[in-house]
Amino acid sequence: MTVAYETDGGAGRFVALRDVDLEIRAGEFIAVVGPSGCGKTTLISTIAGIVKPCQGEVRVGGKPVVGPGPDRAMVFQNYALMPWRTVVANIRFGLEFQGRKLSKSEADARIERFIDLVGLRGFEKRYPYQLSGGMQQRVGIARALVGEPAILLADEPFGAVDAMTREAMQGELERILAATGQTVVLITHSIDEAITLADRVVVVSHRPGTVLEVVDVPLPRPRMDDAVRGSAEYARLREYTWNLLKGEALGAHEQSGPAA
Amino acid sequence: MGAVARLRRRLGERVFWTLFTVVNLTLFFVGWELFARSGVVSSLFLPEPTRMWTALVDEFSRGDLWGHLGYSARNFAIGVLLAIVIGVPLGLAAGSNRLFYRLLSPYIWGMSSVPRIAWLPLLILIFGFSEMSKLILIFISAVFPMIINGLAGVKTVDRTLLTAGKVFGAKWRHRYVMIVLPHALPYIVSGFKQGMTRALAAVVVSEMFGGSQGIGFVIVMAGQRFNVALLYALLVFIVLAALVIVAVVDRLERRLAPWRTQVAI
Amino acid sequence: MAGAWRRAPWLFSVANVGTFLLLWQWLASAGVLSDLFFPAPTAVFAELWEGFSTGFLWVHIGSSFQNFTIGLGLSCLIAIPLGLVMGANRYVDALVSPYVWALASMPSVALVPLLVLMLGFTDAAKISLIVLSAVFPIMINCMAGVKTVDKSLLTAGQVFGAKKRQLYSRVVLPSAAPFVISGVNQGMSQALIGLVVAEMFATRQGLGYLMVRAQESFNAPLLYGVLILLVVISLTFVEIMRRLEARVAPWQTLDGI
Repeated sequence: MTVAYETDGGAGRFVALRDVDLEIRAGEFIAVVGPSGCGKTTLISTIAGIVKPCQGEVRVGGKPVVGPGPDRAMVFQNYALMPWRTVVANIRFGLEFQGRKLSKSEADARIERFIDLVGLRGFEKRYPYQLSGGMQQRVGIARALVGEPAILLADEPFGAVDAMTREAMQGELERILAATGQTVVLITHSIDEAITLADRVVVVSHRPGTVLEVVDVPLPRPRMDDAVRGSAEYARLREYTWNLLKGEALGAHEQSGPAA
Repeated sequence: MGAVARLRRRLGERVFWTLFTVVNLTLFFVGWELFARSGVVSSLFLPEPTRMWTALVDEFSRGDLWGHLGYSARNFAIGVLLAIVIGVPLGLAAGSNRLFYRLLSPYIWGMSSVPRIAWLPLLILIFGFSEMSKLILIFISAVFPMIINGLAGVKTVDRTLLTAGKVFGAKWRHRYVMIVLPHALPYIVSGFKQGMTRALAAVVVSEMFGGSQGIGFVIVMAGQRFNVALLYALLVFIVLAALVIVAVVDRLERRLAPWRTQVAI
Repeated sequence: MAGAWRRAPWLFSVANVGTFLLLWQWLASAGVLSDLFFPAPTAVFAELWEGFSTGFLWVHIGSSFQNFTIGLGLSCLIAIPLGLVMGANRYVDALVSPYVWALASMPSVALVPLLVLMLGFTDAAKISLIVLSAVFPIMINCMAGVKTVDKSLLTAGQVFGAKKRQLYSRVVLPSAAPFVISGVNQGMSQALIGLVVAEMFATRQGLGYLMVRAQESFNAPLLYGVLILLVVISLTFVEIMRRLEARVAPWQTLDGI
């Protein structure tokens, strides 16, 4: 699959992603890491169906993606919650445009379940501005999960929260996903986040983005556990991935070095 | 300041500042009364508040002030309603469609930069000293804030919210109703506020300039009869009317957009 | 075609307005529009041309300009310092703001009969009305500018050792600057309204007077001409303020809409 954009003047094309070939198994957690500007967000937008590849295609459950659909949902870096909706109403947004309409009571029950799952009980009637960043992202996660998508897409979901909250949220996410068996594609710039959460880590190269390597992470779960994160295997994977990325970053630096 | 600061702490912020304003206003009017009675300034220019009050009561009971107020209120309501019905959809459309915006914008910006009252002579030329010229002046004064705020409301919508809408499968129509319109709502309401304040001025001016009815006419007559107490009283009355309009729209805004933590000026 | 529009957006506007004027001209000369009410654009421009060449327009423009500048200048002198103090001191704010808000929400045109009564048909009456129109929006914006200073910037200033006076001049004033400008902007358009109203009611000179005279003598081309002049003047001032804003507060991203 290749994704290219027309640049502004129409004079040339900017190839964001080239020859990305990736198969994601059901129930699998994939993390995508790469230097900034490598096309990670383009990749996830393509899966979501809001960017069209100019070559190749994305298939979900065997069917090619032609646009957004209820089988894919997304968590955004800056939450993208509607400021005028309460927590409950924001979560309900995830159900409102599905082809198959749930009955009111079914929908309510579903929303209740996810409010409990992400730990927002007691905050249902709050507006986003009354919540901390971490809480807002819980709403974002619940909104994405409530439609029970085949794939959950997450674009730097914890990029905008502080380090402490980030740790806690990673643990939460792991717990939530263990409960739902959700297939996930997570974009992150943090190697720790990738290794802690993912079954496989996809390392993407600098411009145009191609898959450099897919690293298997055979660590036991739950991983938000000091024994796992302190293990030699964890350290080895971290070192290995970091070296891949460092090589990539150096290459990028040399490319643009003389000019700068 | 020490005693005041202590009082402020004892009473709490809310009570203290309310009390402060009450005392402030009372002292102001008492001071005005005493100053006016002292005769330093001719009572022709500065009537006592008590005399203003009796003049107003007098006018209400004797004259036809209710009739004039009713006439002004009716014109205000018609002009503002027309401005809302035409201005808001026009603004939303111009905000949503680039071509339409480009087509409309020179006229919007050009016409809205004319000092609003300057339309009056032209309207009188065309429609005479009729109700039509009054209503159109009120309409023109009120409509541009509605258009421009509707436009701004649509244009400032957060792109990522629209992306989120797309990802969750909302069609264009749904994105418009569920994302664009709620975002634009506070802008539209603040357009109401601006538009209504301007409409009030237009009501007064249109009645001052030819015509024989309405509060503007009463003000001019009071001036010509050197009834300064009534003149001042009417001005205070207009201030109160303006404050009520603003308060009502502010309440509407809090009602319609409770997620807004701050109110823009 | 679409590409050309995108590269030169003004081209579209010129074509747009040009078409509008041509259409008007055509309708007027074909007699569809009554030339008593909607004179042809050429007639309007001819009237303006004549007014400028005989010089009588300059007299009125000069009178308006003089009163406008004096009035707006006075408004700034009064409103900016007062507004900045109101924003900084809670007691001054509470003391003054009921009156400021009351007068700000009053249509200043309603003051014309009172001013005429007190000052007669003089320049003083006109300038007073301009000041009363312009002073409150400026004041309120200055106040808001001081009140909305980012608290963390104040803390930063204190941490780096700024004294109270320095905090005010280095942190508060710069961050209030865009508000001051936008206040003056609003004040300006209010002042223009005050000017026109005052001239319509209370004089023998100025653009407002000229419009009333044109209306009374059924001189529609002159009336439209003055309206166009007012648009040009108003847009000129807006442009000047935009430049000034870019100068005074270049960190502000302009053009919200």
